[in-house]
Amino acid sequence: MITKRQYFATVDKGEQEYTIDIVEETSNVFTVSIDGKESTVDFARMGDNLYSIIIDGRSYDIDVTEKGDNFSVLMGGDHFDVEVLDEMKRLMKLRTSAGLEGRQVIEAQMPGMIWKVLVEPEQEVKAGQPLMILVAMKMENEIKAPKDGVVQELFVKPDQTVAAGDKLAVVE
Amino acid sequence: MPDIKKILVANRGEIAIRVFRTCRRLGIKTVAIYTHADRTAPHVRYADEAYCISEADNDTSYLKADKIIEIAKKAGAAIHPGYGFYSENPTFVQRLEEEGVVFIGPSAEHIKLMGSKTGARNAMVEAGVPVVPGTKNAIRDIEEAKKTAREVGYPIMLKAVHGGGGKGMRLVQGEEDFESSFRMASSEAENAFGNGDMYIEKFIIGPHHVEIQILGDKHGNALHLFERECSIQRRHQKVIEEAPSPFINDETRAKMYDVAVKAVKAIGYYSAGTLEFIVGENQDFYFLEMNTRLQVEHPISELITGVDIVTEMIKVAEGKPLTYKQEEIVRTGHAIECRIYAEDPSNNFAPSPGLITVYETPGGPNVRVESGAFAGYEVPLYYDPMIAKVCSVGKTRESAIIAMKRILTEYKVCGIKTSIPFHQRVLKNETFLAGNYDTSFIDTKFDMEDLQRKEGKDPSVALIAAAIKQLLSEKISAQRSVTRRDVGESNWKRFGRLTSLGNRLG
Repeated sequence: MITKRQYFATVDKGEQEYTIDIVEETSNVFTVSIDGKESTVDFARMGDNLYSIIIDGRSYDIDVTEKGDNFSVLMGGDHFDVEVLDEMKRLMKLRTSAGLEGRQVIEAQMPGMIWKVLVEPEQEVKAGQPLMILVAMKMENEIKAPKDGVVQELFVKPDQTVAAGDKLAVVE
Repeated sequence: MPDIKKILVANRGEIAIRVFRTCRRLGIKTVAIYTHADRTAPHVRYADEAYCISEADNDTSYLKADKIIEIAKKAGAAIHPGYGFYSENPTFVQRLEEEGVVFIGPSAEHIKLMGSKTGARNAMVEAGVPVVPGTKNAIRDIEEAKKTAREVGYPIMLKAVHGGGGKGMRLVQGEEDFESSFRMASSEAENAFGNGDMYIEKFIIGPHHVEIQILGDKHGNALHLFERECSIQRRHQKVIEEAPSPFINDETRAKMYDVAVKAVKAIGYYSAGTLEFIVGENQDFYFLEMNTRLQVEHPISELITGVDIVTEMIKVAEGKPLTYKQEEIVRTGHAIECRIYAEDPSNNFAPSPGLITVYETPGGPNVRVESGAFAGYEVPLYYDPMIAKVCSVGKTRESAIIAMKRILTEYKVCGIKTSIPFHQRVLKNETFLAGNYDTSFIDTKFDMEDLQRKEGKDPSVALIAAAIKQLLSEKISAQRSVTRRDVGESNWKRFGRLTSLGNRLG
């Protein structure tokens, strides 16, 4: 079965949108065109996030980390954040991209230990105000309120260990 | 003193393994200690014996003198401290001396002397080592201060005796600004620290951090292993070091070696140590401090001299003379070290502990890797973020840089973020390549935003890779959904529908 897909991608949250048409020719071989410019791509997974790709004969070693529709691509010291959406998701995003409205769930961006919690439930906070301090590898990181609001919930206590993605608090 | 047959390393990670490697080569048995958090760490598995020192699951401390000494005594081992932890703790060393456990390092007295800022300064002045001109005692009288400033020579730095964090500090370019700067800095210090006492120090323009690796024994011999340039620092933490320094000239070099060796002999220091100097833009150099331990960056000195510093430390601890005479130490080539930290350079160097899923070390010629990591290893939260040091060596500086570029592309660490992309940027930086960087390099010559910015760089490869990954992920999740009994529309169906839509669009 030949698989064909069309995506819309942005790099580093930039304004420019690229249209990507992709056709899987055989296993691991693709024809990819970006805004009409076509390339033949050999795509091989080398382990976990590591890939070796050959584009029109040129070979690249890259590291791709995936989080939903966002891909963090690392190659030769250059780092690109690429968002890849299909048409449906793109439309949904256009509808909802109205800024930081409503309930904001704050998640841990890295694993660590909660050293101090600086606010209490029901407390009013300003955008950028530190809510707690997370310590990882001897470094302190302030977890800040993403918007003005009230602390609705606190999911953590001091000395608690958290993993990346764990819920820390809700500001509404 | 009898030969050392067994060594306990009171440390973890790469430095513990580094010391064990020399032990293994010399036929000395090894003892590791570890905390609960480090149960799976490579240093634990490398050693001949390993003992847990944690008392509970949440106990992550390596600072357990009683336990360490008890294990060393039971095992009949000498103690090598590595760096950090107990490496410069005179009380610990004093206890070992009293309890008859051999310490592979300097005497408690030397550690104490060099650990004290004023003690070290006075000892160095006495040994004829230049120190940063200025006063270390409080000056209250403004006229007296002015006179001293004139003697030291402008520009000068006014510093609060009880200062810190930049408060109560003023750079004074000339005498015309002296009075107002003095009053302001003093009042700032008074308000911040409750004490307005100030001292004066010469301001070094374009400062370089250059250090001399030394070795001494208990027979009065001392020698140097040339210098290292350590000016590439982030938040006062060294990140890249090289040997020799691309900045200092041969005349300065010779003078620095001379004073370093003289100072070591003058104080009767033995074991490995490092004299750190600040070198100004006109090649004048001043003593900063002395590290009385094996340093993180010792491999680059080993690479350009062929001397195994740990071997010498062990021999000295056994009471033997150093293996080499100064004239036998020959410098060949140039070496560079990059410290690989578990942190994310594209996110303001945020710590990135966690599971390493892929770990491939570089191979081939001109490379040395000191590492405490492997695939499947969970980098713990509790310790320093350094997971490895990679070093390159070449006949010239240029060839060492070329080798390092190759080494960093071969070095693969997945699952966590590392500082490798940062190093790759530095190695492309023109100021770095020209070799004329000073300690302000990262703040003034390195474009931090460059870690995020890709202007002018073609994102096509990244776009292609991301799009293919997206397609493959969709296929995988579609396959999963047919194997599970999902309620409602399966992803597979959705995928089929989207594909036919894509086909129509195409």
